[in-house]
Amino acid sequence: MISKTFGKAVGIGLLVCNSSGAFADADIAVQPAGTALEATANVDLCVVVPQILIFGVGASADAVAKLQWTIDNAAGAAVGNNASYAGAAAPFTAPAPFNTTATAAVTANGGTGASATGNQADLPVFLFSNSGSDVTITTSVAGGATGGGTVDALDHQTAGNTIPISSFTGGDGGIITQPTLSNTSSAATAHTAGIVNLADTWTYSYTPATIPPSGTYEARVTYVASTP
Amino acid sequence: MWLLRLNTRAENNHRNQPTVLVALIGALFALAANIALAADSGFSGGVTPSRFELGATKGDLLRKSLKIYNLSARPQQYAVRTVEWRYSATGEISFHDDLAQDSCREWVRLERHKINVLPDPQRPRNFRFEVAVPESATHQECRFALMIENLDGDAQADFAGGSVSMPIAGRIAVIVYVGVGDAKSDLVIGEVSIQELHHRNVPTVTVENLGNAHGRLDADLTAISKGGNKTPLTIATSPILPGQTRFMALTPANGQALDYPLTVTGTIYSDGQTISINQELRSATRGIVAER
Repeated sequence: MISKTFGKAVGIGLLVCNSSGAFADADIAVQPAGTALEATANVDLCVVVPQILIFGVGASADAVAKLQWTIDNAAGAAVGNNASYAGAAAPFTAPAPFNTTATAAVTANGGTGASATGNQADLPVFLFSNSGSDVTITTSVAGGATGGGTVDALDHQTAGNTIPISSFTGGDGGIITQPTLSNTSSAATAHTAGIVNLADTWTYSYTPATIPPSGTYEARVTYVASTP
Repeated sequence: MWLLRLNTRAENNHRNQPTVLVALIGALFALAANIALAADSGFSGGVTPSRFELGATKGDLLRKSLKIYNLSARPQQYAVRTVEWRYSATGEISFHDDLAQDSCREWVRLERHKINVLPDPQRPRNFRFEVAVPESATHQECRFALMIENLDGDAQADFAGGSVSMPIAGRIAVIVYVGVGDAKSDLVIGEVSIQELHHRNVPTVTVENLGNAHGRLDADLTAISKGGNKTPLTIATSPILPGQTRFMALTPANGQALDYPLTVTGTIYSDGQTISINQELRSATRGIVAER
């Protein structure tokens, strides 16, 4: 996660106004005797501020941030140091006599570049722009790291096994609008007096509708920031 | 994969369900095995400028450059490529790798496709690109984007453990407009009305672009309530592409809520023309067109 001071540090790179052909402004005072001499010369001050766009998702390092979840047994022992999700939306319920222990739960591991609470993974986001217009962020969602490339779904190493992106709920802190978590969605973050200088936390919660077959499921969510 | 088979059995053979479920729960515990977490990660980059609005004549060779910042903790390799972009009348942008029918990306030459950038906000990488406008080009506006993303070696999922994972990638798109020859916007300002934008009813100005290049609006507008309270309004400065009709939002500059009924008064500026506005909005209900 980059701090706001990064934006300021970058933003200080001011350019000099066009000075080619600039001459000193000079004046010669010729006044009648008895009148105070007065000569005026002007200096124009001009600052050109470069247009800058900065976008940060996840902690600041060298790889794509990866959010991760595991499905485990909420009624069992805690797994690792994860907090268990004990919400009502259990993906399956076992028949008696096992129904007291068979409630599955989803645990967000936080993954790289993120933190987690229950089934929710949190991702830091930062946006700076001085372009004078809103910053638009678009989303694309596609499996592919595991081969399938299915739009709006997490792919599995077995073709055809997918988890729909609709099993996930995206959210934000009301500062930087997270586009709807689906392919080709778009959202604008408004500028204030020409400037966008905001930090927020985007959240991703996994609530499975059905128990998926075992294995690794993955889809990449790509956010593109631009000032059209 | 044995969990997959057990799960299939559970669906097909209800008599075996309890036994299967015990195995299933065990398997789910196995699924929850610790997954090694790498060091912190993400995308943190910047560009300047974030947009080019250029003019050219046929046969011109435009040479331009932008600065690319790496604001992460480590040296990065960024990939740079050209992409198409589309912009809807409701202000949604989308990016496409496939060449559009009227694409001018073939005019563009990039310095490199991969660059290394140091993690120092004081030492951006200068990146050059050229746009060679052919002699055969018509009077039009060439639009493309330079897509900048960091290359990562973590695209392959780890099949050894079971997990549900969602890599989050960030990119920056630098929008480039090149107006060729006499290409220019022709903006026609319409009514002030209440429209729903981003799930909120807001006052808007309708504008249609009859030209062959994008245009933008600027304005000096004030909302005056019945009680005489004056609220300065800012107008959306997003582009109106050729052929589009858009509702441009009027937003209170001080962030305060507007008090209806109100009168929107002032001036809208667009590409050399000045339009005076003095219209009343009776309420914040959608579709209420202003009274002149």
